[in-house]
Amino acid sequence: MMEKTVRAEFSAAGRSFPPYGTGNNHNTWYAATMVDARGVEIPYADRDGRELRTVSERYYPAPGQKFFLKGGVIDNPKYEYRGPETLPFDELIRRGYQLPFYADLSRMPESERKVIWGMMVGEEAKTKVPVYQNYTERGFDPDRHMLQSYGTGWQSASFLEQERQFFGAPGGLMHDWDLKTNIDGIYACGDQLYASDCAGAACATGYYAGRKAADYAEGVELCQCSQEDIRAEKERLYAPLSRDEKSGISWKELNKAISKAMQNYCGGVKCDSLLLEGLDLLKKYEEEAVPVLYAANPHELMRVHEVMDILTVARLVLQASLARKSSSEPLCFMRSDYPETDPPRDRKYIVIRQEDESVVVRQVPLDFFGDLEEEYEKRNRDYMEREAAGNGR
Amino acid sequence: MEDRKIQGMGEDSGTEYSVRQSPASLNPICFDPDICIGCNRCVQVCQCDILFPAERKGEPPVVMYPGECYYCGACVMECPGKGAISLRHPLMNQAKFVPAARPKA
Ligand code: SF4
Ligand code: SF4
Repeated sequence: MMEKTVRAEFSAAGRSFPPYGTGNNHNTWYAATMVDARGVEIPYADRDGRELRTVSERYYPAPGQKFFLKGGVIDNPKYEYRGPETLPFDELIRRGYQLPFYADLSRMPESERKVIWGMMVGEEAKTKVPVYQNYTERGFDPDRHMLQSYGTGWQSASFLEQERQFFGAPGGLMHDWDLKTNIDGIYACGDQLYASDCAGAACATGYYAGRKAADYAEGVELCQCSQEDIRAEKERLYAPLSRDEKSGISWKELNKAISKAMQNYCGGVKCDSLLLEGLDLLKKYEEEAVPVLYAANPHELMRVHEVMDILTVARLVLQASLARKSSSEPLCFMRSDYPETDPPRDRKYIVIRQEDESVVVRQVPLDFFGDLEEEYEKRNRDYMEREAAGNGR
Repeated sequence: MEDRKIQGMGEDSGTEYSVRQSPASLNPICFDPDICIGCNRCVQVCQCDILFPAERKGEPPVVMYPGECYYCGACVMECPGKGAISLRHPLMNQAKFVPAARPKA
């Protein structure tokens, strides 16, 4: 596991506006026309800074560029893949643009407006009702209205530096070429992997991990399970159901306490002493709060176990943060006690794992997976042959 | 609302649990009892397990844990009756929109 928290950008609940329901020009809303508080249009520029004059140009690569990549984890693509984008925020402020910004689809050609609002927002599962339908009922008409932006980018709220979330490129679970973790038979996919987020990556890695797990399952013999282990595990899982509500702690109380601890001790700026303080507090929660967590019914039991998982992950994040003794821009990782940013000695994965009660740290080179094409083909020949023959499973 | 008793399922069917509507500062899901037929499809689809079937057959479900709704809209999409169930974002999360400014020359 590697540290994987970035400043929050995106949330479906809490105090966040509905995802994809604020004025922005990314992903679903690419490349919406943006204006500032005065109604002045914000320019788009290609990768060379050439300002674009028409809406249509925003959807084409720069002269001499074959294609560009957008969306998901590709926030800061290499020059080779960089596509049209609105001018950087600092430049806009220097030029006198004023907040708040808005997405103004009414200035776009009708076909583009219909694609963004009617097709992308209107037909994406999680935006159909909460955004398209709700906003329409509230009177929003993309022909006549513009929608406000919050914060300076594509975030769904103006989040604070200490509000972190597991999202984006930095950090994630360590795995091998089969997406298998260090626990034999357990595979990982989706946002929990490093350098991975959004639906496309989740589908691709989920499919891959599932295929590899199925192959693995075919080749192993099921062992006899011990009735005593099953009994003990059931007892552990169901224990909160028989605890006393009056003297116990609810999942909500522990959830809020962990959240506050992480904001205090593992926020935007980190240092050894704060991180250790955080670990100390979470250890106290583990020892004192977890044994008295109660649940009145299976719904609450599910939440109790969710929060116990959150507690484990929070401790992992603190440990992983302790292990990196420098700051890093691409990892959104700032240390007040190790301000040196991205020194060559730390240009590697710093991976932690638990062994008994202690944390083991190791370093892995950035290119540990080798040549992508060659290594993929080596490990997936049978699959490629099946697919080529047209009878993939 | 009083505690409600529910039975466990499967090998747990002999156990009785209590469920109580959990107070929240918002009311994200509303039913129209004139349209809702109490089919409980919304209950089945909710990934957050916040809706519970009504005690009386044919009545709208109960929003047992309103504070845990994450506004995905799956319940509304799954409902066979238009207008039987609706989703509302909390006031503080309602994004602002204004009449479009006329383009500057
Ligand atoms: S909006 Fe989503 S989370 Fe909320 S009740 Fe409906 S299905 Fe459940
Ligand atoms: S799916 Fe619709 S009709 Fe069925 S119980 Fe839910 S709200 Fe009522």
